[in-house]
Amino acid sequence: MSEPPMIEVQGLTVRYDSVRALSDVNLRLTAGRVVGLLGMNGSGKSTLFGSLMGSVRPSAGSIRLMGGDPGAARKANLVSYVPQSEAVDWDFPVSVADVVMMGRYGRQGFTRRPRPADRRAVTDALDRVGLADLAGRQIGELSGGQRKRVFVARGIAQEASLLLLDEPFAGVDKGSERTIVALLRALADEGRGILISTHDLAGVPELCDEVVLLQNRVLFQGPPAEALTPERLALAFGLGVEQ
Amino acid sequence: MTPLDWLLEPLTFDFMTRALLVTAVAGVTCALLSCWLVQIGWALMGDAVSHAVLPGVAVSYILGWPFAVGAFIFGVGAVALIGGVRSTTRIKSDAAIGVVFTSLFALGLVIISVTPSQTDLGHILFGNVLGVSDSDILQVVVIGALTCAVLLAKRRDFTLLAFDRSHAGAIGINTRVLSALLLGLLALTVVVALQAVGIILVVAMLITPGATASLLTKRFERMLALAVLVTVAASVVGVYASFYLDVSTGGAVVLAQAAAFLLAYLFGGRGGVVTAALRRRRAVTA
Repeated sequence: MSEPPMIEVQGLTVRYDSVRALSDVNLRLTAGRVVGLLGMNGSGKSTLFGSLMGSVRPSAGSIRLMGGDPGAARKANLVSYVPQSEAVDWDFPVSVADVVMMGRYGRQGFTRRPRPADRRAVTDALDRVGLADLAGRQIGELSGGQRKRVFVARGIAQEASLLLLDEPFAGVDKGSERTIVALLRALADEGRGILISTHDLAGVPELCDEVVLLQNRVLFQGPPAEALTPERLALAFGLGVEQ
Repeated sequence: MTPLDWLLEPLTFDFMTRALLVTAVAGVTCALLSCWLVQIGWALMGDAVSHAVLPGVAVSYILGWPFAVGAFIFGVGAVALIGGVRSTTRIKSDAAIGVVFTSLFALGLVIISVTPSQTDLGHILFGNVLGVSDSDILQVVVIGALTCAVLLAKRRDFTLLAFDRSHAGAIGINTRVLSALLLGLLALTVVVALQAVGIILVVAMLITPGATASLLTKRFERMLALAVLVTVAASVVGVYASFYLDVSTGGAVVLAQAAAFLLAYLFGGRGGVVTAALRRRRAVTA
């Protein structure tokens, strides 16, 4: 394939004081693929996301997004992030449409005044995730699954090629989880790259093309069927390797 | 005396029109900024910056500078010191803020106590809006207008910063620069407001309007408008109350804001406790 991978992480090491959050991590994600990042709390999933987003400074190693400088990729609106639920203030006085419009900010001028094209993009994105009827609602008035779809819609409105989702299935019921899995699968099939972190294994085989088992270092990277064996999961989820 | 006379009579006094102008400009600037401070959780930061400007004001009076210069230098300095202490030690944010602003405030008290000039500590601490000079008014209006203009022009960025810093970073916005800009505007706002209500009560102007508006609406743009509306009303009520009842102007303005908060708390659409109780009762009987 001639196109460079969307994510190419080589030898990434992140230290906080004396603690190694990530050690010599390698990761590749190519267009059209969904990669699941599996690991327990403290395994370095958030640190890896932070490194991709530029909020965490690597101690060693390199990160390339879209084959180039990560900062340039972010500035070009190619990267979209769906935060975990705990990181969002659900009482914040913004509507569903307001949040999706934030996906357009990088394409707007100094004051981020919305243009007709921006409004269309927001409407289309909300249609796509099935939330058009709820555009005027305050975000806290939505269910767990709908809340996630708002942020996915923001990535769609942003026209991002790479979607990063941090624990998208936490606090989401099974029915909504299926809706989100189908949505993400469709977005990937259109050529987007998707990296999700999760410790919920149920949806993984259906959603992911590839699984990375993380325990401050990459224990395994490969197809879900090979990753989700009892021995490998025991290793990743700390049975016997508690640190 | 007809009600119209009652309203117009104070305006025949020059000091009253000045007081109204200064209080309204300061109020609008504070009201806008307070919406972001409340949503980000920077209320204590507002408290800190407002107290930390005291040595700046004192030094300005001694050296004959415009008060805004010294106040701004110490306001920004306080923010930088707090950030410095926080990032180089294990001290938590609120403790870092507490140490820095009380130290600077104390420094201000000491400077004033050794200065045998006519600087009136009472006026700096509690405001003296009925005695503001022409040059003070000019400073307030120019700085206030500038601050409001920047806040409104970049309002969507500040709201994004308050709501989802990670997304701001993901689309290449420099969140450190944006935070620094907002804190710089905080320092300017304090400079404007301390003329109206004094150093001690600036923090009320920086928090109460945003808190009140957040009880009334679920939309940020409406929150900005409501905060401004409530503040202008409170400013007028406060200044008139101080004229007719002969009470502290700054105190009266802040009390009027507090009254507005109380009304929103009891009857507000979003968080009103009485409204909610009535709704529950109606739901039960329906």
